[in-house]
Amino acid sequence: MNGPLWDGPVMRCGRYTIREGTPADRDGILSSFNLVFSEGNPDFVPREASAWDWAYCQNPGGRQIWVAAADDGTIAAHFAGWPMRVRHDDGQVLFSQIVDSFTHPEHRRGLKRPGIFTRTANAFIDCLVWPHRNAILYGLPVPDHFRLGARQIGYEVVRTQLHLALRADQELRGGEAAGLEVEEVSRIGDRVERLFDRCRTQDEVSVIRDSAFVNWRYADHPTERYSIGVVRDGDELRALAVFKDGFFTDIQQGLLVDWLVPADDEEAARALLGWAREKTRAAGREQCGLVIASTDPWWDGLQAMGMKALRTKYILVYGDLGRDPRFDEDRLRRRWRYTLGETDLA
Amino acid sequence: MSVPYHELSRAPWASTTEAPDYEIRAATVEDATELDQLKSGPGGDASSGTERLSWRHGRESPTIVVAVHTPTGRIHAAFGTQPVRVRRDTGEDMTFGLVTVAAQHPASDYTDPPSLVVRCAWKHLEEFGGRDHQAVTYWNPALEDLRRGRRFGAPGHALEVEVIRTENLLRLPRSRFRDLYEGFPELTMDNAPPGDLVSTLYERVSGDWGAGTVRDAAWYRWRYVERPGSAYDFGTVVGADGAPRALAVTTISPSGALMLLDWLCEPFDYEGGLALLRWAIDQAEASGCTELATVLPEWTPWFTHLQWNGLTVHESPWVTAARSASRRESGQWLRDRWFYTLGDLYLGSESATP
Repeated sequence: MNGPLWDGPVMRCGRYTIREGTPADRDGILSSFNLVFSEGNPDFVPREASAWDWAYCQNPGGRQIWVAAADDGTIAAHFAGWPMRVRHDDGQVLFSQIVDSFTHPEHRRGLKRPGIFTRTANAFIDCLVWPHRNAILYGLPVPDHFRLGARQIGYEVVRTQLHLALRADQELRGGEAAGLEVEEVSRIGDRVERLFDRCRTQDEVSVIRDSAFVNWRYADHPTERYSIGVVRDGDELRALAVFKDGFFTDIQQGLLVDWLVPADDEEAARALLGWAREKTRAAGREQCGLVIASTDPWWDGLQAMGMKALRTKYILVYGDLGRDPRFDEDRLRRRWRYTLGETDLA
Repeated sequence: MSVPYHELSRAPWASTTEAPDYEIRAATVEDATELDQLKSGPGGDASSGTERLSWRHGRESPTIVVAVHTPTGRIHAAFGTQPVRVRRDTGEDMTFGLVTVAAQHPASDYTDPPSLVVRCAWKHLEEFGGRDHQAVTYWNPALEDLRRGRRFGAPGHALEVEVIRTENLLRLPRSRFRDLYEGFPELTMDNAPPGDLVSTLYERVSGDWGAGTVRDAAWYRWRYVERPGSAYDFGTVVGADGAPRALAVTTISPSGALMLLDWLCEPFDYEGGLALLRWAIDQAEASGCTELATVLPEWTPWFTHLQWNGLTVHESPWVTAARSASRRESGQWLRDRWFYTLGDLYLGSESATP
């Protein structure tokens, strides 16, 4: 999925060329990216080439980047997505999370009505939204980006996102898991896809958890450290969760970044939740958080074990201008299962 | 693949407050019967007759715009709000507008986009909206309305309405009424509508809000006692000084749930709040209710306190949306700071059910 996305002519706008971004643009993109995101952010850690390669060249869903390159070679604007392979009843599609949008500060007045960023975004949208490649574009934008996205791609709210949280000193209501061991592994084999299939419910829409995704997303991440915990049943995987000590919604906390547990396996869920709580304690954090849809089969079950639903600062949105008609608001709200794993937030 | 680059036109229709064969104008009380003929508006307000119009607006002219079909004199569309007095954290009083009617007659479905009701809404914003009038227009559109809005120009998108929140219900099913009940304090309760002393409680509680409806005795009386065709129960925890310490208002929804429509309790007055919860459980048990349910913004401490005391959170079918005339009361600000309960949204109390 890493071939060219666009075989038509490039678009010239004044002194800019708007075109698909390729690995050859990596250094230029990173130079502009690190400049833009360090503005007013003394804690900013520059993104390294290995992180860019991981995000854009190794994603099993492919690479989706559009750039506006100035004639001097500067990357003046950038609009990109993280495509995710999604399974649904009728087959497989791509959902793409909008990430890393920016305009270089010296080029913010480069073009007028529409500006260089809008033109770059429009080019991405024209080539990559349904019916061309992505079934939907989605994101968890901060407020400024939400307003821009609403105008640009018709952002619609799936939900104002809550997260489930367990205090580090909290016992699980109903008791701890008895006799089930959580094993930490460094990589995942092909059996994870069978677990993914067992976890799926009717009409569900969810990012495919196969070894390509899980290993790329967690094991191969060049800068972030994740713990992959599994509960085994003989040679099979019975359940899986991924833990990270991270910063989410302005709180440093233990995070369950991924949660792959069959809806009827309460014991495995207890084991993994207890494991995550112990890792949270060990990291010295006060709570362990998990982001899932409030229509997820585990939403009620995890509350029954004592987790509480708390606010986040995020809104889950999708772009309604250019959307596969099979994925409307109602279906996304009722049937889309997700975790932080399919976002760039953790 | 050869898709031509183009600048997508993402602008909605030009704002217009006119339509051929229609007079779009502010409604008068004489229009009440005609308005009654239109379909129900959002929030399940199924019957807005003369009595209800009078209750909403008193002696004031209604803040409703109608589209009158000039050949027949019939009203074919209407968009209207009820003014709500809101106090900001700055101490300033503002007016918000709760949409109470947004409807059109099928005969007008063939009007070119934007639809007639959108044209009425634009006229409404022109007449009654703005920083010095109704600074924020809010409502609970059905998902279907939002979806139709994109295709046919119903309110929602043409009006630049922003979803503030997908609402979550805090629920306690009947089977768990008694789980923690014994630990809840039993304090002196008063079941009369609150008197003037409720303002003191309101002042204490609203210190944490960025904005919220002014909850004084007059408002409680108007909202719950004088409202035609609805029955509500008041529960007030009486403080040692005889003044209200915490207050809740309940009603029973058509689905048989006891809905906590109002919840006025200091953030860390656990004793007062749990006494209210005990009272509500008593009400629900006595009435044979299937569950107890309420809505609170998730930033309020009681959203969490109620979970620690047995309630769990479940997504509701309701969405709260708003259009702000001011950058100061942006969608994000409303999401973070605006306090409301079911009683402010008119959900759960009328025909809408969870």
